[in-house]
Amino acid sequence: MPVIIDGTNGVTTNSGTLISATTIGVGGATPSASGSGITFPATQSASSDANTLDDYEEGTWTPTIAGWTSITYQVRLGTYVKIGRQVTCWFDIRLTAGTNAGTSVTFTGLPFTTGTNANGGGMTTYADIPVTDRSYYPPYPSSISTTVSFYNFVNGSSVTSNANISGTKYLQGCVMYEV
Amino acid sequence: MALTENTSIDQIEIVGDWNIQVRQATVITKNGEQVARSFHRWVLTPDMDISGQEQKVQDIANAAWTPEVRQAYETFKAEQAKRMP
Repeated sequence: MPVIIDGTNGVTTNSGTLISATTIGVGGATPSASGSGITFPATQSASSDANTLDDYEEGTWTPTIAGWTSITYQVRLGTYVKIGRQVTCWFDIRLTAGTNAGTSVTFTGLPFTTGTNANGGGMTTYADIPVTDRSYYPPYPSSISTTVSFYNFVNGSSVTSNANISGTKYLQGCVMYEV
Repeated sequence: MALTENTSIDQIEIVGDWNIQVRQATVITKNGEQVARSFHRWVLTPDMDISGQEQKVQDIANAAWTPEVRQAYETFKAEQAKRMP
């Protein structure tokens, strides 16, 4: 397949398609030696064009329960995928101890600061932390922060813990937001 | 066929007026060529204890978090708390 590269048109082929056996680097990125795909620059080169995918990154982060004392974590895992401006974070927090009565259920540590209008939300997949209201409580990221709080799905009130942690308690789910 | 692992802070960004985004990269190389890379991220704000951070992170934070910025952050936090249900 003939491939033509010039300073005006970039790369063109006779068939109009371009096939790479492994990886393609964009923005001057060195193509990854692992697997097949598109390699973006390690530091995002943001595009103002709405149809341009300008970033991809995956990694880990560490969620931290806020406002409680004497916390013992059994598991404290966070992973994320960032695609353009959209960040999706998964959290898995398991506690075996924590003094928390009367405080909100909140964690910090998101990998990217949320945007001015975070437009975020998410899903609690499993939680058995003792709270005042046992209604479903989804996670909500605050704007311009790395904080996620939980609110009653029905009336929007802040979810408050009402008993110290005893035994293994879970807080698991995911949250999405814009940066 | 020597595999080596190197962990370092490879990105420090100031986002907005006070948020400092830090990225730690772990790179695995085989005979000098990168074969894998992973990231771990966290964000620092002026109300955090940064004494455990690498010196270069502390230096940037201390330069960015002027008394005016710290005050603006406290004001922001207070206003944000008022908006909470």
